Amino acid sequence: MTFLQAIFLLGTLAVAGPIAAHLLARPRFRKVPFTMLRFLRSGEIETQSRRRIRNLLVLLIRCAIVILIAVFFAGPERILAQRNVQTLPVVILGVDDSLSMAYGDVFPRAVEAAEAMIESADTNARFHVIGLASGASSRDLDAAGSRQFLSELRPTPLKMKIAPLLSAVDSVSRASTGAVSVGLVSDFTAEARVALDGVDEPIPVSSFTCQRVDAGDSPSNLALLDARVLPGADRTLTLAVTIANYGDTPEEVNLTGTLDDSPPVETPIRVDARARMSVQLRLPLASSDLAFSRIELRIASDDGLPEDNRYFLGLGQGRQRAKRVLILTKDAEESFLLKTALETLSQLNPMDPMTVQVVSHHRFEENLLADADIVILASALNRKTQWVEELADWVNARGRLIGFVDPELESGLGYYESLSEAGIFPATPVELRREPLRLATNVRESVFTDSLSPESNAIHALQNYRLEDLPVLGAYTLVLADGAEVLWSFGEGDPFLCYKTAGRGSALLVNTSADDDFSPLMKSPGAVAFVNFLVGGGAQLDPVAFEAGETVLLPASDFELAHSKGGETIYVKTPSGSAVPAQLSTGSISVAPIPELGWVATRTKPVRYAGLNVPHGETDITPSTDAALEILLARVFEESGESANGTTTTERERQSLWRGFAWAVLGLVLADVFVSNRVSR
Amino acid sequence: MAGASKYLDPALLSRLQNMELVARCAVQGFFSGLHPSPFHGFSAEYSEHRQYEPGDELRFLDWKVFGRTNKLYIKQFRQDTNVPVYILLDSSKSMTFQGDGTTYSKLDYGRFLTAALTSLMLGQGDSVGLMVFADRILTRISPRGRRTHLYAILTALERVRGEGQTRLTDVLHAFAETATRRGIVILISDLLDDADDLASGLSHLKYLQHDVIIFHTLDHLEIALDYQGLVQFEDLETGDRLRTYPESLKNTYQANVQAFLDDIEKSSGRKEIDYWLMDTSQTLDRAFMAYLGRRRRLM
Repeated sequence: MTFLQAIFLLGTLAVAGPIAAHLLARPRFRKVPFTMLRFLRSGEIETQSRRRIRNLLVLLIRCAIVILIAVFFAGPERILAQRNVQTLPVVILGVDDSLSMAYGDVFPRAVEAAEAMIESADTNARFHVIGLASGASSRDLDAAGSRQFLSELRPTPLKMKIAPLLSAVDSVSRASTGAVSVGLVSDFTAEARVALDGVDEPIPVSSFTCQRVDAGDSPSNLALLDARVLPGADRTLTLAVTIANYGDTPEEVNLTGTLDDSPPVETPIRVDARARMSVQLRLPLASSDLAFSRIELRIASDDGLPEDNRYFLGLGQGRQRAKRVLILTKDAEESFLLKTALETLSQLNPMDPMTVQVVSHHRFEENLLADADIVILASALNRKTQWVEELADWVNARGRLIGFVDPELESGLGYYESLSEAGIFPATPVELRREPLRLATNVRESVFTDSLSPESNAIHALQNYRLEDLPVLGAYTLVLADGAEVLWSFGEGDPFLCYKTAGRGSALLVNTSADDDFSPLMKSPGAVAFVNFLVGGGAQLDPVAFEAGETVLLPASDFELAHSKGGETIYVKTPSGSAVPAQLSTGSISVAPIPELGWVATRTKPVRYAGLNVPHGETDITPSTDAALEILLARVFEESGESANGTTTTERERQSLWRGFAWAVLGLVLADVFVSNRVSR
Repeated sequence: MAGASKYLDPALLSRLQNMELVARCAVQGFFSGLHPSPFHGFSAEYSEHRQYEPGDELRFLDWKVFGRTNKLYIKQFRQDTNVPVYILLDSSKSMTFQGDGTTYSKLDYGRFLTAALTSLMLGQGDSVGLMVFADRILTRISPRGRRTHLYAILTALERVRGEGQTRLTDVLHAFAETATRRGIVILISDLLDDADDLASGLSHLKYLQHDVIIFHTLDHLEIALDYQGLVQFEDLETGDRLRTYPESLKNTYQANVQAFLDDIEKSSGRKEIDYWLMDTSQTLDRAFMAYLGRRRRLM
């Protein structure tokens, strides 16, 4: 019998434990005076002797359990047969085929370096070659076969991963008793170093060879990193584009944006060395229907890596319909100015249309809430608890509630109090102050957290109108609810605009009237900007862009959603034009990672696009220092120093005996329970 | 236990320091539960008057009362059988056994019993003697019928100390040889002696036509062996030691003890001896009833 982990046999020493316990744990007898000992004698002699035997038996069983457990952990084996075999050395070559390797002639040089490793290996060696980004691999090759496989490798728009190499080393080490050598060829850019840094413990190998192939000093490389859609007006689409200069010299190039088949828009940019910047690019809109457009951004740079000079972006429809605004009012005149401002906003911003409905208090019905995205209380309802529960449920679900005050609010003060008590309203008006007030100039902008949050430029636009110059004739003192925020104050410090989130929705209290009773706000040019601020930003269009290698989600069409049973397979078109299967689930089309750059598009109309771009930071080819790299690699592989050549080893056919020991331990534990129980009796 | 009868509880009696108090409390407690008393007889000592009822013997009519009141009254007298009662109290070391949780030993119980019986017997007009013994006769008080005799016995009881081994045979034979007048012999002992020897001694008493009552006094623990864990038993009389797990022997022990008790009871029954197993946790009235029952049979 042999043992896989003979060190565990030291555990048999633990048998001293039960023996010591047996010797040291002497029974302690309580002394009791008694009279009728003669009636005890006959049974006692037998019991005492039996007890000694049983105690000894328990001791033996427990010793046996300890020994068997130690043997069990040592991995007992029986050698059935034994023969000598010749083992061949194995060389595992990991070649970084990430996109950064596409810079200039880096990848061909990497292939040459890998071939040199093959040449220098033992003539009998077998090779495993792995593309560390693509995951492509081929095993058990001879030298010619590995050269052939290397010649077929191409850089892919993915990041380098070290896991495939480590996994191959592990599996080869387990399967082979021969020497295992590892060769690694990479440019060791920042992303590659991140991959290496994730290794916790070095893996022992016979030998390890590393070859760095990089772009050299002062490379020229610009990269488009990101693009986001900003809500805009005036029939333009504003994109915030992030550009990085990974080189050591400043670059001046043109940034070009193309929306669908429209003429491209070009803007010159200058990016400093080793810097990144954000540029706003305005694309004119030919049509108001932008729901499923595609945008390509490009920088005209002849640097060494053209793949990251383009950025692909699809436009998805954030909501499937226009925002619905419901104004609850005592009479239509009261909210005329408010309604006009909202409709004007809707016309100005075709990307974020709205439908506005005015309903008087006595005609309000609960089913109107179901369709509304925003409810505006131009004035409070008279009855204190009217619709409070329904409004609370609606706000918590998703809605935004906006309340105005007016000089005749006294009868409705209790209503706002009820809404506050229901936990959805930010403040309760208490007392009317009829005195001239001015708005402060600063508006807080970072507290909106619900789905209708306005973008920061809505706030900037609002501030352009200098609303602080408007005369306000009166306001209420407010008692703020728990968790409420004051977004905007009067110059005197009293709250003008309060905000509170509730569930997935939010509520605002505007401390002025919806018409001009208190202030000429709604008649001013800033009215539209103000209601834009109140009703939230343009979340109508969602940018649809992913990194190559990520799971892609495309918006599902109404038709697909209506006829979806979930988990259905549909086909989409990849950037290379091939059709790949995708799954329809939870309102989206889910596509498995595609290692390409360009657009993934649906094959059904309306055609929806998702941009596939270079993984973030992958083309940052800034080299690392040799010392830093050496430290990093030492944490990945550890050379054992054994010969990397073939050896003759004795192979034994073994039969594992651990099951028998496990059963024996179990049986003895049961026996121990039985015998111990008898002893205690 | 309500009223005065609570004084029949040995646990309570054990808290009374004065043996006389023990005796009176126990007897009063007993009689408080027995009214009207069936034990009044007609002898020389006046007891009380009661109204005449048809069937009463006319010779007991109190004519003087009839002459003064024109009503018929019967004059009752305390019965005097002039039966000597010998109480034999075992004071061997084994009688000092006191089970866990109890505040008195078998010897204490025997003393209470002796005191209470003495008080009762003297109240009934009997003459009472006492013999305290272990391996030999330690104290001997001859039977007397005077009330003051109670104090002589109580004083002797207070001097009793548990010591020595039980040698019933020798003691019973020695007693039999000296107590020639026929009477009632009350043996209070745990009977921890050889059964054959005990039978021999008792036979001697029966041969002399004594009426024998045995109050076999045992502690509950001696009967049940309710001990937990590892125990080293030490014999009170011999000093022998025995280490064991009592729980493992309980059944065997109880069977042995039961056989021992059955043996004594059968042997007693054959000799027409009243045998009473007195668990020290039991009240004293059982002993009183045993004595009075035996006394009635003698009338």
